[in-house]
Amino acid sequence: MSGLGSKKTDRSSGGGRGDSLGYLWVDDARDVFRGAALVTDFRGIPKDFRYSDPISPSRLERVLYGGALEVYLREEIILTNLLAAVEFPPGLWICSARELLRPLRSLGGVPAVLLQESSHDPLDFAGEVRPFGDETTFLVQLSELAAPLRLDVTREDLPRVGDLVALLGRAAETMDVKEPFGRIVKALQAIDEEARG
Amino acid sequence: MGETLDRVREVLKRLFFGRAQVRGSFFPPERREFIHAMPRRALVWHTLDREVRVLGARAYGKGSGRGGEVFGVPLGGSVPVHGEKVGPFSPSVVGVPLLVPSEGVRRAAWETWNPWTVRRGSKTLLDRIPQRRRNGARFLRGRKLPVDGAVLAIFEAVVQKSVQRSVLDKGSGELLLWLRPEGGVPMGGLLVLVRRFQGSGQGLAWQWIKKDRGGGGFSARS
Repeated sequence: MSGLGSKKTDRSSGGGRGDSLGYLWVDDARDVFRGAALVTDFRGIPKDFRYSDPISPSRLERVLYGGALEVYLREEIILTNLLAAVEFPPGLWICSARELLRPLRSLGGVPAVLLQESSHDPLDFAGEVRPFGDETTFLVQLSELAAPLRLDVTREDLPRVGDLVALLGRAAETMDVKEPFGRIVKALQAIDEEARG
Repeated sequence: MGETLDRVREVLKRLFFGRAQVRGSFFPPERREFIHAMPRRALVWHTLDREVRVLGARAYGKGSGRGGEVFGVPLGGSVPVHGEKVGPFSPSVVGVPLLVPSEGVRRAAWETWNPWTVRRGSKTLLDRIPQRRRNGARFLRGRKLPVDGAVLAIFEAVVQKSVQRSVLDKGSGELLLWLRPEGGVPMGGLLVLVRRFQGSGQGLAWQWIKKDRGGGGFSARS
């Protein structure tokens, strides 16, 4: 039996961890917490998909846990369990929310970035990186026919921003690097519909 | 006994102001045995004491959790206690493994350990969900594409060899792609929707465009 701390690694299905991206999504809409992790190859083909059941804290639990509830559920429960369950670790984790970036970096064991849409005009060429706002935020032009994306990294990963952008750029040649988040949401909706019958 | 009789005699003498004289033994000798056999302790009814006992029993029973029967006054049933159990949010918090070796056991484990175990993703589920590509025509910015007609839509990063099925979502303008999982990761290309105005192939047509590796340019493929 494999469990926490005994993560199996499957690289037999093609490609090492450097050729895959991991997407981590956690949502707390309407006071229901749930999360999912999707690992894809550079074509966006799923390699591993894990999701947690929705967590609805009771009113009493909200009072007792207080302000620590969200962090506890997001990091200790959902993130930790998802990462422990993934059997095909990616070369880079991409998260959908800023509050996930630091815990994902520390728990995931590989670099993690926050990738968000921007309304900025396209940069001059694909692969261009520009500082944007604070020290750890950048605008990156990953593909030629799209707006640049906003990239956030941890301070720990600042020295390797160039490598991370190059990795994302390689992936962007054969996939839309933000698109898997949409598939995660659709997959969870499908799961909910199946559960409701 | 003699002292007691003397005290009784003295009391009676005072009561009658000395007008009655008591002589001899207070009790005739034939009744002496009967009198000696009488109980010497009188029954005393403590009404106040009983009330205090009851009050004390109630207070003790509620405050300490011990039964009121200690004082001989049973309080009846147990005291109702309100509230609810506050359990941990996940069995994993105490280190219960979330993964089990086989699919069947895993499914059983879900049902047993629900809620909040992490489930393994269904590959068939994700196979049903297409990837989406957005129309990048507005980012062409005057660049000429080697296509025969007017560009209506252009979709980037599409691996032609992997495409199993594609559908244009007219509502969102997005291209839905179902890809074959097999195969490596070849170079992606552009899929362009063009409108042709002349010749035999008038109307809408799809055209693949090869993206030159590293150069950023485009060349027609078909």
